Amino acid sequence: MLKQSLYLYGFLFFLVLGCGDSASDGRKFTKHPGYEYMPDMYRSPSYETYSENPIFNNKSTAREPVSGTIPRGHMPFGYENTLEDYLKAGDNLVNPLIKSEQNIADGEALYGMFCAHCHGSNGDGQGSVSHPVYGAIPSYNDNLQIRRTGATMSELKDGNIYHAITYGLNAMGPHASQISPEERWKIIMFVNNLQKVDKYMYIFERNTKIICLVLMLIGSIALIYGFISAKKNSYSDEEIKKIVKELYNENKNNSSDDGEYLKKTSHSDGYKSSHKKADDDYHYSALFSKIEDRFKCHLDSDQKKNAHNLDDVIYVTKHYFHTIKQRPWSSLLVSNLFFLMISLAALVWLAVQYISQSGWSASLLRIPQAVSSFLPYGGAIMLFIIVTGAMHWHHTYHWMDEALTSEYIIADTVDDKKPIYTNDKSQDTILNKKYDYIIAGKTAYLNIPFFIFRSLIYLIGWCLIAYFLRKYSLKEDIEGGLKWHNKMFTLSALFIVFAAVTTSTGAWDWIMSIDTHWFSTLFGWYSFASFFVSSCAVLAIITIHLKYKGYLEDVNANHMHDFGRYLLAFSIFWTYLWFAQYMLIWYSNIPEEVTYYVIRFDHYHILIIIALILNFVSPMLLIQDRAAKRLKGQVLFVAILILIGHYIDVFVMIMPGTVGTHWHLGFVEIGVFLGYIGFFTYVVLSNLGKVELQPKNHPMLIESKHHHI
Amino acid sequence: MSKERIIYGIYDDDDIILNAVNSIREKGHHIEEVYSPFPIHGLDHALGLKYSRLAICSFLFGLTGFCCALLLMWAIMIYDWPMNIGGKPSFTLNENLPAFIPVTFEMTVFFGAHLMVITFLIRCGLYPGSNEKSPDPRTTDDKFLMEIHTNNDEKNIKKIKDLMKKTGATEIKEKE
Repeated sequence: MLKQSLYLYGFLFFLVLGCGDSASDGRKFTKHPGYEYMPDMYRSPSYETYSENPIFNNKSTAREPVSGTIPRGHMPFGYENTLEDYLKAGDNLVNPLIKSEQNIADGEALYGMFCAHCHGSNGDGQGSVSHPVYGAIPSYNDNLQIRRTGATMSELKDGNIYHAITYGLNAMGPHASQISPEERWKIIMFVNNLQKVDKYMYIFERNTKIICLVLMLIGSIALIYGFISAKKNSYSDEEIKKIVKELYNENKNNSSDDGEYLKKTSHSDGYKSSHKKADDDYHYSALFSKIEDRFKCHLDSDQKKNAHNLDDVIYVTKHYFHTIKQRPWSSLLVSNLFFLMISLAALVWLAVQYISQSGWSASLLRIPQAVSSFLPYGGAIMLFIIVTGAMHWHHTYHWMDEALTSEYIIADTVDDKKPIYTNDKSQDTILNKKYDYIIAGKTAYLNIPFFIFRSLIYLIGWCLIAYFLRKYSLKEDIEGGLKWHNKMFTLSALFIVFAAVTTSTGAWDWIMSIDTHWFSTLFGWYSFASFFVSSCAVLAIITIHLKYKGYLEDVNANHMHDFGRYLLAFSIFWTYLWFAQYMLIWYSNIPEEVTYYVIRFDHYHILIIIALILNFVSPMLLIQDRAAKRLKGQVLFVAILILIGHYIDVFVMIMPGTVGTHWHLGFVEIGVFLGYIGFFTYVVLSNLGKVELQPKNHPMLIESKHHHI
Repeated sequence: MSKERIIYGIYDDDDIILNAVNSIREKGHHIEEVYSPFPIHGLDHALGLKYSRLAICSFLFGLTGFCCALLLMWAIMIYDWPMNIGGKPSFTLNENLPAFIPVTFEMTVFFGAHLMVITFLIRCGLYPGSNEKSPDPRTTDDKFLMEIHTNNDEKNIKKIKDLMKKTGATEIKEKE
């Protein structure tokens, strides 16, 4: 009985369940909406916002605000959706929110919700919806392309962005209904960061630019001042001759003591006896002190002692004024050569990275590329110095003077302003007293046309290779693959051979030929070691600068460590070569070699000691340790010391042969050096800002990122 | 029972063992030693070893060599048999110093290098007749071995073995 009633109740229960299913009337796959047994508030008796309304004229329930009123919590935006108002908004609107981390963080979150799918999470326009052709979206930090609105993306003002969010722009739709005004301003605050800080694109900031320009201004003032003061202090050879002769005659008449001296000079036994006398006790001491008073100068004491007749006295005085004229040219040469060779050494550095297949440096190859972009500028000024030298505007390369390399002089023209020199003996000629047989013996190599030709070959060769390495690297960015990398490998290998020859001969030509009598086969490597370590210092300084500015995220302490190693290793290498050259010459004690060091140790010893301390002792002590090499600040400090030290080294290479004992490290030299720092920095940093800082398709980028030592 | 047990994990690659060392130490286990056919950069840091004082030794050895060389040059070239160097017969150590620098440099390097090798051998216990230190001869060829000491706790041992396996050990064994 119980069992039967259970079946019955069970049946009834299922029946009720079936009836309760309002969507089914028992038929399968029907379009019938089903019966509504209990229409539980399915339909509203009142009018809904978006429903039809028979009461109002426009049949719409939703009403507009009463004219002349604004809804609560809503600020009207007084700009129309036109380009004109877009620009006006940019000029007038300012962000009403206070810049705080919270606001920026909110902005970032909102940006991620509403903007990132198109603009990309880092603002590069590479969001998931964008397409390179049909939906190209500019990057926020693009500072090159001027848009339809008259400014680049990185220059967009807050008001422009607000207008664009509100009304949309180009393909972008209006977001006013989704994002409240306050949220819009927060997003703008975050977008401001995206406009500025860019991981991939270096922005040459205005302040840095101004510093560079100020330094360039100081440099040009120093150079102009140098030329003007050299001009002011100069006397022509004839004037000097005349004045010295006048003083000589006065001296002869007035002073009997000096008369005695003068008599002795005619049969003086020369160098030895005069050399052993006390400092102010030499022939013509009275005459020389008069000359010094008259011209307000200090003549070289060795030369004064070795003057044996009036012609010598005139020569010593003339020589002084020649070296004075030389000063601005020499300071220009020192600075220009220093930075020209630094940029060349950076190119060598770049090539070494390719031929050694270095992985660690892959992410910072743009830096040596940028540094080598200085080559054409430095090269042009180098050519200017050479050509003006050939035109006898200055006597940096004094072997260019015909008077030294010609054995004879045409007799009639001896007293002319420009005598005619010849190497052919004839009846009209007399012996040229200034003839220097050592320099004359070198004319097969050291002659003006060949010299200019060689300089052109070096400079054009270097510039071309710098241009092609850069071009291939940019092509690699676009096309990818190994094709361009392999090309760069080949080009680098060729360049290393070319550079090995040209850096040596370049150093012989541009530096060693100043001390024409002297020669050292080691000189090319010694000077290149100097330039190479300076170049490493420059690369380290630029890398650290970029790190401080927040670029180069893949570069870390390990890369710093490698820069430290480069600096230390090549500082030791430079010292080794410096000492090797010095010791061999010191040891062998051959007069024509030793003269090079005599003038340097007698008159430039302070600079040599400073250079050795800065270039050898400071890296040795400061970045020997592993931990020290990994500190940005410490590497930066040592790199700056090394740069100063090697400037002094180049100074000591060039100045003794040009300005001689009358050297200064004053306003002209330091000013020109500062000017060159500005010039060089300007060229390099503006080149750095042209393309993305990190090469894109370099095959060893990953290795660089995970570089660990 | 507190008998110490020793577990060896053998790895194939230096990068893998470096990561393994990091993650095992993160879990709080002490790694007694790592045997490797060549030095691995950063391993000393990962193992938490103390800063090496070998550099101080090396400096002192170099200094010894420097002094010895100068003493030698002074004794033979100035004191015992004064030599005319490069036509500059001053017979003083000071003025003839450039000529002695190469010898001094070589002696500094010589003392530094040789004494460092000897110091290294002593510190590693590699004197003649010493026992083999490496638990597995393959660590001198192409394998990397990690050694962990632990107490006789099966649970802990299993944990360590699992951890080794997870971090890429190709072979795990225990010292009998």
